[in-house]
Amino acid sequence: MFKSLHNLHQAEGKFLLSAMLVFHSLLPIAAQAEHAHTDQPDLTQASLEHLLQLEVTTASKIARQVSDARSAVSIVTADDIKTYGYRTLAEILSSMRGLNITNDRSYDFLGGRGYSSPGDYSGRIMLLVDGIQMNDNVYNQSYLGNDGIVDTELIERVEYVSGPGSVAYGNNAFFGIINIITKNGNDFNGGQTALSAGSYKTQKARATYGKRLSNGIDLVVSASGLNSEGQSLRFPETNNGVARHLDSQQNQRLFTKIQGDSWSVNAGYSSRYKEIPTAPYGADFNRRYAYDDTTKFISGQYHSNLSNHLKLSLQTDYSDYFYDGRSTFSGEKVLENATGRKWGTEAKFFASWFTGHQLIFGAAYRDDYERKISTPAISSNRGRQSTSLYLQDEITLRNNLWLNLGTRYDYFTDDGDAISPSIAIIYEPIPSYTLRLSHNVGHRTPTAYEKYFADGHAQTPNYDLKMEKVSATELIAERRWSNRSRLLATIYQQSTDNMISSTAYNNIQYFNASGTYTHGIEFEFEHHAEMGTHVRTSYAYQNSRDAEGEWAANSPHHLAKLNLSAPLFHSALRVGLEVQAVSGRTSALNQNASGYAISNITISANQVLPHLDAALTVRNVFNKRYDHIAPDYISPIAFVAQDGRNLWLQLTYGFQ
Amino acid sequence: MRRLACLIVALVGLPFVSIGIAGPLPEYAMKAAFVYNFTLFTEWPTLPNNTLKICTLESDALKHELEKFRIHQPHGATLLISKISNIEAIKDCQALYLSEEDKQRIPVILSLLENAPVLTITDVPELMGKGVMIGIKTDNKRIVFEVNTLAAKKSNLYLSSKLLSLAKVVY
Repeated sequence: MFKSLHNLHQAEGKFLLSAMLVFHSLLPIAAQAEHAHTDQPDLTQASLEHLLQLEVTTASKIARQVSDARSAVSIVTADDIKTYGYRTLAEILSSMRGLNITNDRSYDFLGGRGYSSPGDYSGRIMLLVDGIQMNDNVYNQSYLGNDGIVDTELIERVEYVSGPGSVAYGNNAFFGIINIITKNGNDFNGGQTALSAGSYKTQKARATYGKRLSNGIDLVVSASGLNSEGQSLRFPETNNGVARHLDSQQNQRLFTKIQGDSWSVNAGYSSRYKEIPTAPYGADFNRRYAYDDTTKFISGQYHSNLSNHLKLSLQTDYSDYFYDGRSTFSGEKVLENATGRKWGTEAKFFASWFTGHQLIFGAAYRDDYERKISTPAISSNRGRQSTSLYLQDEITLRNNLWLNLGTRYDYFTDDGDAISPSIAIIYEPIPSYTLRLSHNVGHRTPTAYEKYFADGHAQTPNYDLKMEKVSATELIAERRWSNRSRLLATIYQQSTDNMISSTAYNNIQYFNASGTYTHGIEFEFEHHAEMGTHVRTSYAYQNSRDAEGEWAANSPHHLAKLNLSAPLFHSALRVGLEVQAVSGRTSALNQNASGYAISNITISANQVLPHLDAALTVRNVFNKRYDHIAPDYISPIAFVAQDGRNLWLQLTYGFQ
Repeated sequence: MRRLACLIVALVGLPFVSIGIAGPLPEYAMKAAFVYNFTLFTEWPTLPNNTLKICTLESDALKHELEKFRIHQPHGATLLISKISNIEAIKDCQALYLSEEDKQRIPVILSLLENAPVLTITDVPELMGKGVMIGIKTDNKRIVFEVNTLAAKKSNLYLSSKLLSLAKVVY
């Protein structure tokens, strides 16, 4: 259960006091806002020519999902990213309904829908950036920390669609998908440079240029670099050993997006070097161990109206992934690497040939031509190809009743085929009330890592590994009040079959366990008040049973989130307060980690000086000590202590 | 816990103390003004009972702002602002505003209207070019609009050349 926030010591009281003092010291800045003009023209008398000259402020409203209408979607927007000072995708996702992040000081692992196996690279939730699948093809991992493909400042919105999405996305859209939509050049309308610094000797610099050119072409280019020295971390399980200066990381990113009316080209690069303090897989403790993860991608999209009733969308992408691991085992240096390269193409059609039917159909081909693993024990390269066909029909039965039917067929040259059907009924008994009942089936093929990896001591391959399946039934009720408030409630049950699991550390082999079962209920409420105050809060209850019928590892029963933000001093400042509570979890070896609640605060100010925006984020304000459950493979370490109170200051300078 | 409560009160309470100051103009007030102005540059085949009815579906924010124009008499007709709950009734409108909230129903709405003389206006970018006659959007902090003359012509609506000359895009 939640360990609540009492037992604050004096230091925290002082901290609050100083936080309030910071507000007051910023008062002079607020005074600048007083110069805003007060005489509004009478719009009821204004001519059209006059109206075209006037500046407008966009009302803050509930963001509408662009993803799949059948599902329960949570959205974080660019405004939220700024308001709450999110630096990584993991921080964004932590704030969302029913999601939790587990960090083992190497990667951020995402948990959702009751599944949150610590250290599970594949995570089973698909990550898309502007419609392009970003999971690598060796581990199927989505990179959510400083290893992520795109800077959070370039993100327009993140949508989390819970539940199996294989009907639309095929392999690996198992428990849900995350859809990241990046900003357009027009959103920047000029150049932007940002410098930030934070705790643990962390610095980041970024330069971005974005513009919509007069010929209609929209362009974004961005580059960033991050350096962090990290901490010297103590692990009680290793005779209270301290991993000295083994937590540093460096990251470089490049990103570009160029769009015309009917086409777009995106490309990105991200490379992260991270030192690993936990000595995984029995490596020597307090000796250098480092991971290098590099991802690149390029994609092109083209849209065309073939006729009044038929629209075509074409996409082709290439991406690659390189991993380098350098470690020390019994004094010997060990090198390990993995390479994944793939390309794919898809043609998707939207047809409205028949009254009351919106058809989506298409075909996709993907060639994972390189999935290479090299360790001292094995050098394996297993390419594979897949072909997919899909069809969906949204049928309007009445003005307020829709039936959505879909199915997808995937064929994999190594793992056989899969059919993923989906059915949903959408009903609006009265306007602004929506009920959705859906049943979805999804699948995931074993990753190259799960099936073929061997390191000569801790892990052996399993060539007989089969794909796993999931089916989920969900009832979603949603109520909207104009576009200012939204209340969502959902109840679901989900069962898996042939779930891919691993045996315990020191003798790791992946195998198909029997099924797992999860049921849960979730609520989310969002409100944007006239005064500029926003609130977004959610609660999720989930009960997940593993293949043995035991409480699933690292699966909290309760997840509660609160995000609250408000303008201060005539909108000169904005304050974002965030509280995230995660209840107790158990490890695969039945060791319990207690629940925790952490609070974060961000104070941001636009135009503190001409063109200069500033934001200060304090994460874990009350310096709460809490642990994440460690992956099996960093045994004997069972718990990984998370960061205490830490600061992050960002300065952003914009120019035309 | 108490300290956290104090902090929340402090953070949430402060903005309510501050006084509202007019900056640039609020979105819905502006959009309502545009919608009203569009009706001035549109000619309908007839105005039944000499009334001009502007309808909204779920956008209460826009309806509220449109109410402020009630005293006006476009084309000498009585202006009515109406929120439609029974979707069949959209045919009795002279102008219909389609917002983000109405997105799911748009295919139904457009097929219901077919070629009825109803001026359709939207601020949903995806709907422009899908048979909606006027699309408005924010561009560089100002509102601009585009006009689909073909859709208007099909519905026997005459859009004045002045309206077309002020539009950003006409097709």
